[in-house]
Amino acid sequence: MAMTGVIRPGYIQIRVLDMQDALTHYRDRLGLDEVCTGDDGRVYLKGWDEFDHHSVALREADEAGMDYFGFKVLDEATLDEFTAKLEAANILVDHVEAGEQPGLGRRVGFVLPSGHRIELYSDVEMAADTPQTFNPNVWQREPRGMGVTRFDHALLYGPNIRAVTDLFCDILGFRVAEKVELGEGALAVWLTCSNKAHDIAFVENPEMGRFHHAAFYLEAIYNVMHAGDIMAYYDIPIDIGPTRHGITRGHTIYFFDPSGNRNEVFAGGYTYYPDNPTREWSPDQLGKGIFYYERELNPAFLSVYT
Amino acid sequence: MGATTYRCTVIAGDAPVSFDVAAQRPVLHEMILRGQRALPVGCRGGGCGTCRIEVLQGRYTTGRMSKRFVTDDAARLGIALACRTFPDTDIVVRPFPVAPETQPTASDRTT
Repeated sequence: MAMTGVIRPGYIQIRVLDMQDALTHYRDRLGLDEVCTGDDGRVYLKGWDEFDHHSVALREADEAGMDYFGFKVLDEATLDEFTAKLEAANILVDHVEAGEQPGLGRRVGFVLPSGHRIELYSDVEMAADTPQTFNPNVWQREPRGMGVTRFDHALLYGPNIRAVTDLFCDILGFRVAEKVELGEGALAVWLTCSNKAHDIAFVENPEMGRFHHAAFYLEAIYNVMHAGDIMAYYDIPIDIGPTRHGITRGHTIYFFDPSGNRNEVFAGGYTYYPDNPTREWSPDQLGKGIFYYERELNPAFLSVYT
Repeated sequence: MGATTYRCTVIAGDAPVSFDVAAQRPVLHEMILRGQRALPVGCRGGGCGTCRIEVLQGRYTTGRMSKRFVTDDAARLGIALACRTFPDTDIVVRPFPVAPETQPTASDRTT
């Protein structure tokens, strides 16, 4: 049994300016399934290929952006161990009671030096609608829209990324799959707790707690191109793509939800093992790292976020 | 028979730039359609603040915009996001960029 500690990204809570527009986007265009609506109006969704109760929570608010990102850990004992390690490092933790999000157990939350809130949990209900497990078809039913399979990762912008990296690696057991030393101590990192090239990523930015994108996985590059057709058909603003990342090798499109939050659909990415060395890019090659074919950054990559 | 259009003039840089904006269409989207780049383009969804403007002349309505970038007070003073600004007459605008914040604000609360 190799996977231990933090096992995968669990959920992201995103602020949207209008819930109905957001549902049309996340449910009908991306193809996430709507699971339920909470008493406070938050709506919960999941990718068709996910087993857990939900992976996306939408909260209608006056501002766009991300509220928090939750990671699933192996079991309750692991959750207690991480809580103790965070407290021993003088990181302020808070406890969220089970059921604050429907289907979700108790959570332990803390704020990173970059201003982002991270939560850890282990207990979550199985979804009512999961991938098949006996003579399984690929799908339970024909996917809708872009047909995203799961919530995969997020890229977050904020200061103190070196300290953020130390926290994830020293306390939570993540590894640095790829990095860019941006100069003057600034850092961009792609962190993994799994075989994926990244489960969360950070780029140094002076503003605290900002949200660059939430990424959703697709099986193959054809699905990414099909997603592009959907974006063109429904006039969804595209940021960049279809193209390939140098960093992680994923084929990708960046686009925006109706509140201006950036989304990504992508396929591929290499397989990472914990004994692999860290891949590094020089800052003058960041363009190729993000946009492998274009080999230059678009102005929006470093300046447009919510 | 042509659709109603309004003239939008952007005061920025060396010379003003003018383009047509169709009725019920946002200033920013029409600017892009007409091949102009007088205003910076961001998320096009009211969330990132990149296209913030001050409307100097003319009447307009706005869609939902992130209050992080356009508070209710600022909106009353003619500040808006161009991707959510719908002219009701010819209008004159200028860019009103967002200054980088380095301190956490009240909007950083997560619940």
